[in-house]
Amino acid sequence: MTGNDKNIEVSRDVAIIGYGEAGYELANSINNMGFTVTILDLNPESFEKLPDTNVKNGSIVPITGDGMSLNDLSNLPKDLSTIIVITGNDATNLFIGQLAKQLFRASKIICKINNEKLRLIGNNQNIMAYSPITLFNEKILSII
Amino acid sequence: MHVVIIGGGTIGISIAEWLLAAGNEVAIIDNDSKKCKYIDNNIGMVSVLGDGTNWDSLINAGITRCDTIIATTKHDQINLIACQLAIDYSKELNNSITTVSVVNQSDKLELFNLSGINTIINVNETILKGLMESFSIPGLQHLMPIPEQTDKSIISIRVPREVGLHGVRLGDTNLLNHIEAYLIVTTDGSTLQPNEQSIVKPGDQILAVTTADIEDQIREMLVSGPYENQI
Repeated sequence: MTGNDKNIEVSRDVAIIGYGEAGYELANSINNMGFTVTILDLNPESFEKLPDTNVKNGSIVPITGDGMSLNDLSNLPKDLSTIIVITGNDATNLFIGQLAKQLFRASKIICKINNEKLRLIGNNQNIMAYSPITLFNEKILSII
Repeated sequence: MHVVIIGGGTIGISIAEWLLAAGNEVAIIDNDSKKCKYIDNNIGMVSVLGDGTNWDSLINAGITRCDTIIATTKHDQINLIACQLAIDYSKELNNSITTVSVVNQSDKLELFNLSGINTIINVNETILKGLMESFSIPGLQHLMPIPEQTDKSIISIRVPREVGLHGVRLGDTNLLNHIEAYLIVTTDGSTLQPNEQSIVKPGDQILAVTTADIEDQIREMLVSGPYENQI
């Protein structure tokens, strides 16, 4: 995806599907970079820790819904530059990634997938798949 | 052949029983230890406690020597990804594993269709079809096309309830003008040659040869009435 990055950055919209621990930090950081972040999560309670001001000024938009449902996915903004799928389950993330690919053909799709074989399935379909554990280990190895 | 089944629910177990009875070898992956125990106690030691999206579980179930994988869980993501793992492995080794999957939610059909799974069974559609068939009495069933006669086929017409308990004389209906009837199968299973004098009663079946274009008219005749003049 290196060559294309420059000319598709028209949209300043990012979606995060699954708002767990990682989602909190990620949403804030992306938001600080000037992107509007739409967050889709099944559990409305998970939105309680969102920074009030960002929600009020509309730079973070929480939506309660199921990433596994095409209907709920289609409630996301149409011209997303990037969709980040970070629920707690590898298979769920890969599945949502594929559904999202079907709906948002132009968006970059990034999924958190720990399992290597599942990452390959994702990569074969132009879904960027990363494992926090692998990235962490690589970091350590680069330091040692 | 060896078949790996994902999901030890009702569907998975019935398929396993059917395959075993036909002399095949099966392994059923389920993540519920109670279901695995049930399977081992009732249909044979064929359960694998694990997850269909986990390669180690698939290995334990014998994916490397299987001919077919059938994904039957209630979770579409597990069914799809288990099949995708099998497809990838298949490609890698240049051998072919036939993949079969159940789809629970119809909005996921397109994704399954794109994935290259060989056979996709849409649970809702299948149930709906069954229900519609059971409601479509009075009805017309397509039995088989007649070989080398592209437009003709054998159909079965079930005589509707509306003709009344005493039945109706075939000669009093329009039916014989439209079809070549050659057998009546009554509800008690006996058969008779139809002619104008034959009386058919609700539930009887008329086997006939007809062309496809006339089928719609017969269907119409059967469902719309009035039954004094038609059937």
